[in-house]
Amino acid sequence: MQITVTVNGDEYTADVEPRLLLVHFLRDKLGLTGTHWGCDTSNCGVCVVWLDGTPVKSCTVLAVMADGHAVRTVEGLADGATLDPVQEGFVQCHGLQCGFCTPGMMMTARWLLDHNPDPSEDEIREAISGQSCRCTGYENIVRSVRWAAQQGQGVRP
Amino acid sequence: MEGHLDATTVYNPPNLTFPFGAYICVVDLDPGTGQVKVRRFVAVDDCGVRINPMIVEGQVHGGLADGIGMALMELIAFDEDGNCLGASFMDYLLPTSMECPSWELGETVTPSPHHPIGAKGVGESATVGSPAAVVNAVLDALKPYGVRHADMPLTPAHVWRAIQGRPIRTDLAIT
Amino acid sequence: MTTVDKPIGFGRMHRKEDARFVRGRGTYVDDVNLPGMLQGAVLRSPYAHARIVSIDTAAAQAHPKVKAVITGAFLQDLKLAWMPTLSQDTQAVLATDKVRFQGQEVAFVVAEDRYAARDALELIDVEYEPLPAVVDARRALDPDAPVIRDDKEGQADNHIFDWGAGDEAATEAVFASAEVVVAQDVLYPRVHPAPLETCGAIADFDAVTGKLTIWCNTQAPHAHRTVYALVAGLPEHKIRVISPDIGGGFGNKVPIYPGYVCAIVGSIVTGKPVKWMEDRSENLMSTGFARDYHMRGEVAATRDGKIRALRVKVIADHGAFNGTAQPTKFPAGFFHVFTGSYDVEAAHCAVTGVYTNKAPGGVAYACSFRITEAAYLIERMIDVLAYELDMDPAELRMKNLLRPEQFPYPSPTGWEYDSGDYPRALQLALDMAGYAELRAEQASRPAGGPLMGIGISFFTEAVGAGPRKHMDILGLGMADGAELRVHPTGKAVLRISVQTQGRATRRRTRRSSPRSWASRRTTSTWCTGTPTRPRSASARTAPAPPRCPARPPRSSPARCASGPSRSPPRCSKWTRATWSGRRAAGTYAATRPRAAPSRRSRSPPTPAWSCPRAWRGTWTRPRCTTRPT
Repeated sequence: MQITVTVNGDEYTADVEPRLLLVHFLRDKLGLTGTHWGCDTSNCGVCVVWLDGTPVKSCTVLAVMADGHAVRTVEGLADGATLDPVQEGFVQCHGLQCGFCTPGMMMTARWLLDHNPDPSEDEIREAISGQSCRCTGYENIVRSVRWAAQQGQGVRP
Repeated sequence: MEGHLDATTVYNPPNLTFPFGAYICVVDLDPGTGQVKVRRFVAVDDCGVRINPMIVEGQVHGGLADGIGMALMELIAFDEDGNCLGASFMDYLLPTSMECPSWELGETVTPSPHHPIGAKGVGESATVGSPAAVVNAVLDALKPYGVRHADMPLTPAHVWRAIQGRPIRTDLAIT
Repeated sequence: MTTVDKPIGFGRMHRKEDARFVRGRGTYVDDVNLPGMLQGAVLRSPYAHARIVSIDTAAAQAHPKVKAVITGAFLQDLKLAWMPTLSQDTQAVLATDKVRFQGQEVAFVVAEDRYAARDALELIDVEYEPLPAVVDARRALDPDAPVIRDDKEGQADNHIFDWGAGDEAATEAVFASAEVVVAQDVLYPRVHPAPLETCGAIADFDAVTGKLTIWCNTQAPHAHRTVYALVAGLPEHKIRVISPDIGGGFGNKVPIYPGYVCAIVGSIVTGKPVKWMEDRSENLMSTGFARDYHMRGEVAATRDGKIRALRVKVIADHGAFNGTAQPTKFPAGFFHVFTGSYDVEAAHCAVTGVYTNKAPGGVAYACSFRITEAAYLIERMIDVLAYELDMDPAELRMKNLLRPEQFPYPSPTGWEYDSGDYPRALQLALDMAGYAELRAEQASRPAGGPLMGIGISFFTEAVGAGPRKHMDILGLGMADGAELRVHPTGKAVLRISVQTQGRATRRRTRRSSPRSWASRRTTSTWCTGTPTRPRSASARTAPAPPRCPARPPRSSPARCASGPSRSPPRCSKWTRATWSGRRAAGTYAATRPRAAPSRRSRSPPTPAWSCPRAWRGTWTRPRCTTRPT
């Protein structure tokens, strides 16, 4: 069936099978491979994207459910050549190692900071608790989000 | 082909390097449910000379999380027919940000005498040292109940059974 | 110029690859799409042990999007039904006679897209005759246990190997005269490295040139190429293994899996590139597991807590095929480092490897071969001894740790520990933790209430790819190599043999080069040809971003006093996830009080740079004989 989805501000129309997962739509149909596919069971969170402004795990969303809705992926985080503070925070604080969970973590972090500009360490941990990282032990991810929060408030850490 | 200078080398070290470390884990344990919460984790690593301390710390952080995972939740068990009981992330539990404390790292530096820059490996150290620290902490907490040993993973169910004096084989789900 | 207090290239520096990763521009193997590429999927056994009676692929072949269905019988005709493992055993690529673990590969479908390939798996009809399964490793050698590897000539039981290290007689003698002996069965259960990116490969065979290109998220591309060359009979120069960005390895991505071989065969059969990406269940069920060591440890000690000898017997569960990744000489890996960090008179270990109806593997999960098992055993045994002697575990460790003057230390099982100051490291950890205060807090807990535990471990690891005389995979030396080529413009290309899975190898390689390469005249570049950032701070146009704080503010310890009962149950992970996130949105409303970040009260002491002077001096002279002019 035909769907029209707005992804990172651009409108895409495509014929898809009703069973096609959003993550595969993004990756295989649109070539937006920044969103990854990790577990199929909604546990690992490497596939997190925004659907109408809310983080969702795109491995458990059908592409047809996104018809007429707006999706934001990691490719839409930066403003041209300028990185989002969250992206810059991950670089500055070594918040990523293999980089596979990073896009999902950053999408959740951006959402958190939009709703809570100055989250505590515990609040950050809770926000990313539905997502797994096997490399960082979460410590530097928390630091990265704190770094971004302080940037967002004009505080020089 | 343009002229150029080149050099090729293969590094055949005279010995392995022997990083080491001392880890201390503090847990809180609810004897009513068997739930374990890692409160603090202190990790002192000696991997010789550190080239980039940021990378070293990142490697240690990740390994410590692995240790908490193995000590408290990660398990591939089988039933009597050989069915794998850890075949998805619904069943094979990974530590999340909620189970991991904020790591407290320290370092000593004892350069490797035979390595050109005195470095030793570190990517694996924390995974090696951390499971025992977590398990030892849980069993230290269970000492008042006369529990000398219990096998990983120390899930609430396994801890509770250990408290009751009825430990089970964690690797088999044979009824 | 930099003063040579620390050599150039040392320090806290950001990674080259982050720029790509944070923009979603990494190149993991599943991100690679070649023109005309087909997708493969593996049919797996639902049984742990069963004879295959028949396989009917007709319906799958008839699927309009299916290009090929490959079975064990087809591979048998090509002599590819079995492949060598990294432990010189054999492993079925696709099962021909029996399936030997749940999740074993039975058939491979190549189709136009990944969904169609999965559909076609449902159309394959396999008739199985179930057999009793060997699940308990401790009973694998029972006389009545079913024989799993009846494919191997002369294999009449499930025994793989017996291996030992140390001096058995000397150990017996110490045990015979010991004041205290404690024994404990310790299980290190089967776990899985579970990297977030699953295993996968794209095989592209060019029938005209006879060249095979394999994109594969392998941690050991060189070993893979050699094995492919051996199996396929192609010379090395016709095989190119490309290992792109890897989404975590942890040892899981060292072995060669049947899916890779199937993708290659699929590409040969269809003449097109074939991608195979496993899903999470396939990863957990069939690829390299770790540990599964059933150990019985014994410690001989004096009554006042001096450890004299250690004895260990191990049953090692290797699954249905012996696919462990470890040096040829050491079938139990480096398990014989089990004397750990302690000064003992004698030690002996005996390891018996057995087949069971479980997935093969036995990979190192973020550790050198079997060292985690060894460290876990000795550290658990120390605490068991402390329990029996009613001693403080920190005191018991301090009493038995190797002393600095004993290095280089020849261990009773054949190692030579290169260097160490163990008591200093343990003391630092005890000081940082506030050990005495923790013990006091623990003692003040009322009986029957929430419990508190303090656990200590002290480990010694053995790492490094070498020396070659000891370290190999299938006889291939594991030493690392590097090639540096300086071009006429002064640009240089450095090629190294190390694959990165998140450890900043690119940055590290660039920065730890000798100073001559790092001078401004010769900008060294990695093999990708990335231009080097200007070295002097003044040359940068943009101001440097603020550095990450050393740690985030740590909440006061009182935060933890709530105890375990109030921590959220694990299942809440589900409710927090995905769609229900809408409902949870209010959770993060910015109404919470904003705590002012407070500096952490307890900061770990940073020891001074303590390189020996002699060593430091070597950096003032370039070590390479072919330095650029």
